[in-house]
Amino acid sequence: MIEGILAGLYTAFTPTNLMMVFIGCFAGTFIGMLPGLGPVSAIALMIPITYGFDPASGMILMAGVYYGAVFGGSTSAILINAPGVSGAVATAFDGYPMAQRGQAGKALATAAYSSFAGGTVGAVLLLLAVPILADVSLSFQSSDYFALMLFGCTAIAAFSGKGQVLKAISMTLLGLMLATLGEDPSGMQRFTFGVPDLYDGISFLLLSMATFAMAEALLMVLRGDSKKSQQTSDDLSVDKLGSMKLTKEEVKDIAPVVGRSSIVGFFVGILPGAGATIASFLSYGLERNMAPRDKQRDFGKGSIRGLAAPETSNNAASTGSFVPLLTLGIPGSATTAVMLGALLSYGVQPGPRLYIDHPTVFWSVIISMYVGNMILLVLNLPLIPYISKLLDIPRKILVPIILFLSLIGVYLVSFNTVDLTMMVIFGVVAVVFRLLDFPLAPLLLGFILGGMMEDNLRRALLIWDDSWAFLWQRPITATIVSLSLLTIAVPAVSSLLQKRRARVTGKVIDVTSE
Amino acid sequence: MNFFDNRDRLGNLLLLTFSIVYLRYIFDIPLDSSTQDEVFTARTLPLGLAVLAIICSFFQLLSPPKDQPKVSALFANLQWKSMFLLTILMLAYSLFFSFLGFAIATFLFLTIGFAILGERRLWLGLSVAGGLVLFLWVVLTQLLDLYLDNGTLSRLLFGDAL
Repeated sequence: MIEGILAGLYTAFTPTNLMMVFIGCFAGTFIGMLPGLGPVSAIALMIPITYGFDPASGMILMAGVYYGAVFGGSTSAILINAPGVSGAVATAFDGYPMAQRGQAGKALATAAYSSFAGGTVGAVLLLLAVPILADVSLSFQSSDYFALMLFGCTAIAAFSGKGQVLKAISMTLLGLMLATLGEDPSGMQRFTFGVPDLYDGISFLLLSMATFAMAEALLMVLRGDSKKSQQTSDDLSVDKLGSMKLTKEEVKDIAPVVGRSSIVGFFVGILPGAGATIASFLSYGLERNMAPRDKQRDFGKGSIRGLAAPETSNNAASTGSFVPLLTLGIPGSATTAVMLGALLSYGVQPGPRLYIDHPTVFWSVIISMYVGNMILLVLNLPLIPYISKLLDIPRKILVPIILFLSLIGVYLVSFNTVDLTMMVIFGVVAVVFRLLDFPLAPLLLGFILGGMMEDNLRRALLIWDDSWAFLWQRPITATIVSLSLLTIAVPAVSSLLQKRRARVTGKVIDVTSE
Repeated sequence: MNFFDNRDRLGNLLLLTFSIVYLRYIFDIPLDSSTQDEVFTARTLPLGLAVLAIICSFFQLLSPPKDQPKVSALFANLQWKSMFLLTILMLAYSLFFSFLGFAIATFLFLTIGFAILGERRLWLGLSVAGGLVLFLWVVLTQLLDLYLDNGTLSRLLFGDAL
């Protein structure tokens, strides 16, 4: 392990890779600031550029982009009340009121320090947790992997918003169905209709670019955002940011908040499907309940605790979400799903053997996450007023550029213009689903997990002589399958009970009013 | 048609339609004579998924509707014309890319895209498009050593000299 860490340190600190982290953080911050374009779009846009890189450098760049995008999302949430990513929504609750009363600099600094602390604690926990989990998961068989992938699919559905569970399940199923296009593991053509361009199925990059980057740009056009002028120049002038220094009292005030939120965030981040959004809301709610009464009243009106909690938590959760990816090869979120696709395209199979077969990639990615956090703090924070000037680019110029970058990104990987046509079709369909309020992250997760799920199921059936008994006879598989069923059943049952209770209460009110 | 003037119902109708069409084509998946009798064939997973998807979307379709804004009202306030034109532009880009080549196709795509979204300053559109094409061409072909198609048109006009 020590050898691996040293090799990772050596790789992460080469000038090229340090440059990768810096470029990644910088590009990620810029993209993350743009409302609608979150880490998924940012990473997807980077994939074609990193195709020629070695896996470690490619992943390091993407890890930098990830952190940069999360930080950028928080910046736009604080400065213009427009969270670039859903994980930064809770940041806007207190960050924007702070900016409104002239403490934008302080709010940005608090967000950066909290993110750094969350990222640091997350990186340390990741360093400790990943090898242990990877060792445990070495004993996993195909049936267990199948069950884990099933759990990944059900968990993302279960953690989607209120009233979204069934929709998320439908979208996961749609993703799984799309994954069956092309040649199956036994060499049979499925749904290819004799079109050679479909023999290899749909590429994950095409689908992720279409459903995120392209769909977001088209939604900006549809909602008329492309004709609105940006509101950044006035809000982000260096003079208006105010001081970026925190007082001793403020540091003392947020220190315990940061400690608690780091741990909450990391463990929520590990759960497949939960991610930064749930972690940030959970920590915000927790800190509001734990705060002394006089401080509790400040929440939502510019409380420094209310800003530190979600910021720490969402960064720790971002780190935590790498645990299932690196140890089990199962992405827990849309962002890590895109990263999984990138790793596979480099010829690296994430999972328990990653840190044995590719220790340099494994450790350098973990170490780069920490370096990324430092770069965000040391370099990006002072540069924010200047980086944000880039946002003065009018949307009517920006949108066609995003569309073009999405198209050319896919072309540069496949060199096939049919992929571009398919991408436009998927992009338009994604826009329709977004308008109808159907979540797209489960679709992408289902799509990425689909192929692996089928492979593992086939292998499990082969090992168990065509018997499905592994589902209840193998303890690990049975436990994970039960957990998957529970994650779906619990929200569904509680929603039914709530409806019944509401109906009963309604009837009681009717009777009493009569 | 009021039944489908609801976001959830319309979405589920789309999913149900897709699942039924998907189910129909499962039976066109060829099966090897040696694998026909196996428990798991090329049709097994798609069949399971299609059945689940149909049940799921059908169940949601028949569930009581939520109090949501009507789809017709929601869709009425959107800028469909710009999105339609951009979609056509992207399709044209994908269809004519091989003929026009990276530089000309991209330059035209960006210039027309800016115009569709209301950029009236022609000099700005042309200079941004030209600058970006040149920048990307240099980065992709000279720095990253990636191949970019010059297009049939260039080859017809200038031969293979380019």
